[in-house]
Amino acid sequence: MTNDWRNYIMIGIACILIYLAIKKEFEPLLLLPIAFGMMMVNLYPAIMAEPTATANGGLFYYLYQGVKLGIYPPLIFLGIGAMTDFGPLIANPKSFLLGAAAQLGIFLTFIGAIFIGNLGIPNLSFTAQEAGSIAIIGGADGPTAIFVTSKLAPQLLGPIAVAAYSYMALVPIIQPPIMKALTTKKERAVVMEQLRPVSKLEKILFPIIVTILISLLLPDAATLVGMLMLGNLMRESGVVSRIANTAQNELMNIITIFLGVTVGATASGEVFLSPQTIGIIILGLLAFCFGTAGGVLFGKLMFIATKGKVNPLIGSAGVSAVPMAARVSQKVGQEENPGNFLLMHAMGPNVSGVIGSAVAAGVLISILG
Amino acid sequence: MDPQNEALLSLTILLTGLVVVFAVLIFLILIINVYGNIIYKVTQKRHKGKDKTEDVRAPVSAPEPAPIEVEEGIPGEVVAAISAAVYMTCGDSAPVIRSVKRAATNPRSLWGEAGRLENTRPF
Repeated sequence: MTNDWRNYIMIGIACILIYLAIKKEFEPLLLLPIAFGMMMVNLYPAIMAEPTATANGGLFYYLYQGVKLGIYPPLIFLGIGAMTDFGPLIANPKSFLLGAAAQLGIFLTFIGAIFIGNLGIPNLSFTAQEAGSIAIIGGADGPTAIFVTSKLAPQLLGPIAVAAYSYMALVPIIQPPIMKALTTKKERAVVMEQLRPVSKLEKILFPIIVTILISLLLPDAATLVGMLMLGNLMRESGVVSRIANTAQNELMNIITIFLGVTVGATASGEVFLSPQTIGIIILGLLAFCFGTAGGVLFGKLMFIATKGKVNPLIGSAGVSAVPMAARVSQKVGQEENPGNFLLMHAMGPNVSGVIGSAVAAGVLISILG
Repeated sequence: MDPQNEALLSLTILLTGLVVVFAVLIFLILIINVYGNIIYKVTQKRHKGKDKTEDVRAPVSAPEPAPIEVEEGIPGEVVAAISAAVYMTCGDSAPVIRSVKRAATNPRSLWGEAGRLENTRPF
């Protein structure tokens, strides 16, 4: 295998991403291994080589099986569940609506991805399965995007994963202009009532009930939601703190390394530098923007319905991207009113966005799979 | 795929997707509200029951704490920290602290002591 000019361009892009991860700290836990994997595969393509009758495969080929077989994303969800406090969502279940509204980006982007083929640009068209995989970028949830793509369009795994994680890292830049454009100063300054305390029993029952309901209603979302809720039950039950700690620390870190480098390693020059990738990058950005807009607009609706008790800014957190999107709501809210603390209120839609995007993923897999 | 089919598929995904996501999450809202209310009511009842039994008892004033004999030179903050540590370790059954004195100097170094503890803790 020899390197050509496209590999050298990709090495340059990888170096820029490494710079962004280290210097600008854009989601470095993900961006650094992704960028390094990207650099490695373009320097030494054999690291991703499949095994032959006479030789073993490359290291990344074997690690990549966890992505290809859809093993890593549910394990990441297990760790996320063990880290997440669903208390704000249980205290204010209406937040679920914002998490649902922010999934608008997924379904609108699907339409865009289907119709982009009619623009007449050579090599720029997507099948329904590919469109579904691109659309899920709007869920702002890396593991979900990888899970759906590995099932519907594994050939697009590299560009979709890179786009999803890059945009997640750029949430603090993408969201604020949309949030400000869609809300008035008065709406942004709304101070929300303090959330009620949530009992331990409620927190323990929550993951059990959600798993039962979602597995029965939407079996295709059961893997992701089930693992998320298992992690959360381990955390909230308090009886298995050792494995809860392992899930949210060691296991999560190991999977993040494997996932990051192998996803990056799918971005070899000949695959990545194509009109399709450019299309995915543009559609992914639109998905994020539509999702943010959907959440904020529904937040405005709730602002009107509750006579000014809900700050629409928390709606943007419904796109998942835990906890960056919630932090953005807090930051934009404080710009208008420095004494306003929206973080806990935004965590409700934020974690409901994780459930919402897993449900949306289930819908896409069940219709297109 | 011809444009008509594309439009049909797009509309199906948009409507089915939004309806299913909203329906599932609204269903979760209802369930959480129901079990949240039940748990809240049960907890309130328990609290009320507890309050009543507490009201029946005659008010008892807490006994005056016995003075602690503190060796000269030991500051009040250290006494407070020791008391807090004893309480945290023993809980409500914490013994009464009668005196705080300097212990005889340990011939072992602190590092040595820490090493000994680390090695013997599992047994």
